[in-house]
Amino acid sequence: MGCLTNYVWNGIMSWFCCGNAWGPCGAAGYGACGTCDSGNYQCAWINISSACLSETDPAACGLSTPPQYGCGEYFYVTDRCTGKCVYVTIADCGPCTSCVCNQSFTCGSYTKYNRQLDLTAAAFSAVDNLDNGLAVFRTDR
Amino acid sequence: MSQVNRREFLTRTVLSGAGVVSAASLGQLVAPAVDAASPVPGEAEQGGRNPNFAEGKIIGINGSVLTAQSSQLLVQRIQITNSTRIWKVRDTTLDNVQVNDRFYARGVPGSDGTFIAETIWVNIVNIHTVLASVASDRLILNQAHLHQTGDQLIGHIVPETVVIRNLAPPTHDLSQLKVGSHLQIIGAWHPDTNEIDVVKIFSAV
Repeated sequence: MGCLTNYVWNGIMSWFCCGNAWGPCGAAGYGACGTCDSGNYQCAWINISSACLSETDPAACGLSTPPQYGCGEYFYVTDRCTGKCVYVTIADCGPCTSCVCNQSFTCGSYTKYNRQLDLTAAAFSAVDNLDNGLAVFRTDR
Repeated sequence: MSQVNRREFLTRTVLSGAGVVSAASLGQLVAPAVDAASPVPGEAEQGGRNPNFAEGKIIGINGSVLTAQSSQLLVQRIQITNSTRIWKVRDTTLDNVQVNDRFYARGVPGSDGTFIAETIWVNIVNIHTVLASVASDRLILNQAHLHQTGDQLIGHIVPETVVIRNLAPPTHDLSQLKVGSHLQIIGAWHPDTNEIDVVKIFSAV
C-alpha cells in the first residue's frame, strides 16, 4: 500500500475547512464524523454511508458508485497537478458531486470530470497551493 | 536534503539571525513528488495535525514576525522570510498584511516553536456557493453545504476575478454565470464581515 500502488478512484478535488475555523467556514463544524479539523491530514469522501451517498449523489452525474469507506479509513491521495502525495483519513461526507455534474479540470495530460474528493486545508497544502483551488487526484490504499 | 535536515537548516538559518533565507535554500516544502523511498506526509500522523501547517488570526506584527492566535486559541510566532510567498487576493508583500487578518500557512516549525512560513495565504476562503444574483461589481452568494444553502455572502468583483468554466480558458466575463448554479469560489475574506473579494469562480455550467 502506498501512493499509486493500489488504485481506488480518481476525479477532481478541492479543499475545505472544518473544526475550529475562522471566517465564513466558522460554522462548518466537525464534519459528519465529528473529527474534522482544517489543520489535520483529513478528507471528505463521497461515500462514507448510504445517507452520505444520497447527498453527494454521483449517480446523478452518470457515475458508477464509488466504494464505501467510513470515518477514519485512509487514502493515499496523489495530486496529478503536482505529482505529490499525501496520506489522509476520512473525516466528512462530501463533496456535492451532483451540484456540479460534469465539472472538468485539467492538469497537463490529466483531464478529469466531476468533483469527488475534498481535502482539508492542511492536507491540500501539503500537495498543492490553496489558491489553485482545484486539482486532479487519484486515490490509492 | 531530507525533511529533518531541511528543518534544522532553516531553523538554524533564521534563528541565528542570518535573516535571509533564499528561495533555493528554502526549497520545496510541499510534499515531495511520489517517491517510494520518501515517507508520505500524513502517514506518521494518521489523520492528525500537519506539523507543516499553521492557521489563525494575526494579533500582532513585529517586523517580519507575525504573532498569531490559532483557532484552538494557541499563540504562535510566524516568521516571514525574504522567500515567503504571501497571497492576499494576489501575490503581495508583508506591507499588505494587517492585524486581524486570518491566514493559512505552509512552512516548517522551528525548534523554538516559531513557524517559518514558506507560503502564507491571508484571508483565503474556498466556498461552495449558490449564485443568487450578479451585478457588474458584485455577486450575491448563498453558502452551500451539499444540497443545503445557508448564510448569504457578498462577493466583490476585483481585477483578478476570473471565471473558470470547465476546460475553457479563464475569463473576466461574468455574463455566462447562471443564477441558481453552484459555484466554487476562491476568494479573500474581509475579516469579521460577510464579504469577500472573489478571485476564482469555478463553474460547471
